[in-house]
Amino acid sequence: MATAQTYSVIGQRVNRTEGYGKVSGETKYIADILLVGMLHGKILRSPYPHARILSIDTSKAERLPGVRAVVTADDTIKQGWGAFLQDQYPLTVGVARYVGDEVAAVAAVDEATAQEALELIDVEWEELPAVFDPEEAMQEGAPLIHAGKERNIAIKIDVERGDVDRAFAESDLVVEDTFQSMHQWHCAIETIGSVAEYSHGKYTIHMNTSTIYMARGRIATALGVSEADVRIVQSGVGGAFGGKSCDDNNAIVAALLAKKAQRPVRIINTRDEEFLAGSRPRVPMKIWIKMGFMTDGRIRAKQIRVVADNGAYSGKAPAVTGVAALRHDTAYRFTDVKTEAYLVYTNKIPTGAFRGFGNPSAEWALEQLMDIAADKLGIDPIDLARINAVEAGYVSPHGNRVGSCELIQCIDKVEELIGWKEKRANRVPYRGLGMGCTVHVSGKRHFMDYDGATATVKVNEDGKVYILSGEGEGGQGIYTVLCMIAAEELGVPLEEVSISQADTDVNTFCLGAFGSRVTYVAGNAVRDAAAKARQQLFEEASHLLEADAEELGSKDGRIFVKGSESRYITVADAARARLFRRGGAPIIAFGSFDADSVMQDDTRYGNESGGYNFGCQAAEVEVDPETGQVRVLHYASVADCGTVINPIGAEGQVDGALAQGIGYAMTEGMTFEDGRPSEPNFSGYRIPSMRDMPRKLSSAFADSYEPTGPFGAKGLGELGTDPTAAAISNAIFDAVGVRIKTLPITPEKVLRAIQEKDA
Amino acid sequence: MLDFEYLEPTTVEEACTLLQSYGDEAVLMSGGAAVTMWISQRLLAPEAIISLAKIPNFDYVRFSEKDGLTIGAGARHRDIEMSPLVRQHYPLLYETFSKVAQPRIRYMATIGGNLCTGDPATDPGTSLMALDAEVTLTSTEGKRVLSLEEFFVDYYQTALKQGEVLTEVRVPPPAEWAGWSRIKFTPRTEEDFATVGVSVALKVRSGECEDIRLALNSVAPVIVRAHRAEEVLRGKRVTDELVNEAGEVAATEVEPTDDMRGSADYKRHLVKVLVPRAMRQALERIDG
Ligand SMILES: Cc1cc2nc3c(=O)[nH]c(=O)nc-3n(C[C@H](O)[C@H](O)[C@H](O)COP(=O)(O)OP(=O)(O)OC[C@H]3O[C@@H](n4cnc5c(N)ncnc54)[C@H](O)[C@@H]3O)c2cc1C
Repeated sequence: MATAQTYSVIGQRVNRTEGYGKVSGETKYIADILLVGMLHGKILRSPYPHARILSIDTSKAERLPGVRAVVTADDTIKQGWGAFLQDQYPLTVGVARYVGDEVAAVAAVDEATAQEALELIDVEWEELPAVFDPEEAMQEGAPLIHAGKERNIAIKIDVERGDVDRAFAESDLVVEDTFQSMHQWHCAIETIGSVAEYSHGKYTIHMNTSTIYMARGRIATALGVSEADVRIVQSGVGGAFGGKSCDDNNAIVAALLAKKAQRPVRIINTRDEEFLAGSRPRVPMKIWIKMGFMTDGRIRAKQIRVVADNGAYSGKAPAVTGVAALRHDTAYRFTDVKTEAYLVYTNKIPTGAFRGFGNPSAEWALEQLMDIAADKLGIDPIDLARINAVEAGYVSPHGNRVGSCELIQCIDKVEELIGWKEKRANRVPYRGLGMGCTVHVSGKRHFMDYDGATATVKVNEDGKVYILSGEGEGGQGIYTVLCMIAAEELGVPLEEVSISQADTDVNTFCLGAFGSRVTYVAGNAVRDAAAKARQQLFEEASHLLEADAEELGSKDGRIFVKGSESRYITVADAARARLFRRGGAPIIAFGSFDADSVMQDDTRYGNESGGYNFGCQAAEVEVDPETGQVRVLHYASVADCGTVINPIGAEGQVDGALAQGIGYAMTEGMTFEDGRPSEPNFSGYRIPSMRDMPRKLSSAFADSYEPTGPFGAKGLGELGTDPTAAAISNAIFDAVGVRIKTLPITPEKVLRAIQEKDA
Repeated sequence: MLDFEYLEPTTVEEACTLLQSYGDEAVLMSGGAAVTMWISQRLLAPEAIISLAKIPNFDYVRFSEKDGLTIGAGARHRDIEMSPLVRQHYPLLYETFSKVAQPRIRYMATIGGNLCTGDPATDPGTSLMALDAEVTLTSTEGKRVLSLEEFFVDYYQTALKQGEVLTEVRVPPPAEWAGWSRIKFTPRTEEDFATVGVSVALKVRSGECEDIRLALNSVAPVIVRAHRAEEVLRGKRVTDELVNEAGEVAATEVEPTDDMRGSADYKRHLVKVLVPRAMRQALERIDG
């Protein structure tokens, strides 16, 4: 394994580049953007899960003093839009398909007037039969949600590699079971919001999205204009986690109102709206899975059937379903696999992208089945994982080519951190250990056969460096990482580097933050730009220092002759010298990177990503057998993310991912009544607080280096959420011998299972 | 549109007079933790808000050997939690108040507002009931003093009459040979309301239970006192069997409902488990 070189900036524990603005209140989140003449928009939503609009009368609302515009589908081009399937409309055209579907909207001088106006809009509805359960929705004769989508199936994946029947026949042990996962909301502290302006055919939209160019493309489609007629400017983003990747209508409706009112319009979701129709929650899946093993523990065969709940529109759920169906085949050694997956429309909130993107749902099933198999095989589950773990050079049955891989090291470290062997040898009643592994991508090639990034680096005449990047900051700390990469490459102090706001009119094309991609993909683009800028600096310095450019080095803002570092000039000297002369020019360089991945073909064969990151986690729990309460006493989480660029940021990602994993496992979960979330607020929907975190948390990073990554780095953001629910469930099994197969793991379910077992 | 008068009386008498004159149109507000939420959720649209926040000396926490603990209705949860007097003489109250919501709410919400909401899921009323506390209600007509059992009438309904303000909470002096326990069962997240809450105060001398008060929250339309379960132990020699029996009996005195914190059956089961646990803990705390 390659080891990281000694760096001057990479690997240092640094403060966040944008941290001061956030803690001092200077950062402008969407609610801080106040434009002259700005109006407030409110959206009228469908109260029914499935209903036809017979008529809609907005005249009373329009006459209310203070109202400046009212829009309905008639103000739109009635064009469907969406990341993969164009099945969603800005405002309901004819039929509303879930409680919360956007029907009409009002812009008024203040929020209260807009709200009052909504109540004056008369909609005559005809309720239609609705269907909420994906398996029911797949039955012949179920109410059809989208014309032409037979049995409500949005997409179907049917893939077999190898010969699964034969492989099962050759297996020594075959296990199978069914697991149900659930909706999970992102619960970012800031809800989705936008401020839209319209002038001379061009829309400018300030929004808290984490993917400005993806937002631009989709919004342009929905509005029926070309991409450059829409400018997206990223505001401060108060947490995204996949939920702000523009799969909802908030910004589009603001744009429609802004055009009609000829005034800037702001729409910020209330928390209720965020649950009803804002960020697209994790796709719930019912997963039947069957696996064959040899007596020595090797996996021989796998078959999986996924029924995923799309909700009313598709958003990113098609890709999420693909990941749930296939990704895990890159964590363990698989040869013969068969996958059948259905993404099915229901009359509920559309589901979509959330940290983990299909992995947490799939691993909830697969990592539990591994545990079941370990029990039957009489092999310690951690050994079973180790036996099957992939290593560098592995090619999955679907074509994923693993570069760097330290999964086995992750497993070893987790074993040590949690004290796996000692604890299993010295058992305490009602305590148990469980674990799980995961794989994630560092960016995924799925949009327009492009998995790249671009960036521009300029060196000002005072030697200070500015990065122009459109990736944006979603709160995950990417600005810091990109500045560190540029600082390292250029040999300047981190404090001398700053980065632009993400703005489609200013920055070149970027896909934005999803798929754990930005450190790896954008990091490479920034590094490329910085290397080119450094080359320009060195060319200039070579004249001033009378040495060949190849002989030069740079560090701490100085450019020196290698070997005799007292012969130096500053970066500022070089930048000035190049600029201030006849025929001068500033130091500026454009960087670009496109990962060496391969778009999946129609059979889903390809190579999803340029780099794969891995993780292993283990939980120690204690179960109260009389109440079913589960306490996580100790949690260990180890990630292989290649070189750790910013340790503080990386640790934050691991801890935060774990909090969301624990929420997914134990505290979250929404009940629906006729398709309506029954408690769309934080009193009903509980996310874990500080005090709900494990009593002890041990995290670490594998010693790892990804040759294609910037300074050896890979992605990290998502994998920490993936196997958590399964690890906890496995630990409960180890503690009290019961297995929970539906999320969330409530104490009541645990108690019932214990009572049934004892009966 | 949100439009109301905001009145800030500076004496209890003035507050009572305002309440009297506005009648149903006004809502009293103390810390505002509940009232502001109801308004923003559009459950409440008062013509006037009468704030108690400007009344001086309304947030005292006092103790004397003779009268016990007296608390002004305007005392915040945090004031009570942090009071050394409470910590020293009423550890049950310290334990209870320190587990209400989280500090943000405790700094804002008052004891008067908590009790007057009449929410059966709240904690302080439960422990106050176990300690035999009483509340003073003041109006232009004068004062009356009620036990908490009399005060809590039904779901979100108290004995407060039109024009009355809760002004003081009094807890009798701590008994000798006393043991206590509070179990707030919050399996989802620790900052949640209780799935089931149990407060018990008992007095045991030479193995005999001289007195016991057992109250539960989140298991009925009101915070309940489990009289029959108390009778299982009162005047008896405490045995493990009796403690378990008390749990069984308590489970027959509650009427839980299904909600996102669990089914009615589950909550009833928890009563059977948690009541004996609380009693054992209380017994362990008795010294001498
Ligand atoms: C997020 C959150 C979590 C919570 N968690 C818990 C918990 O874990 N445990 C728990 O016990 N409670 C909990 N609560 C409830 C909280 O304790 C109460 O809302 C709070 O105590 C109310 O007090 P207040 O002073 O803010 O009342 P206000 O909001 O001012 O008033 C509440 C009600 O009481 C009336 N009122 C107030 N003072 C008087 C008075 N002196 N005389 C007559 N009527 C009066 C008001 O008219 C109103 O009807 C929680 C609340 C929130 C918002």
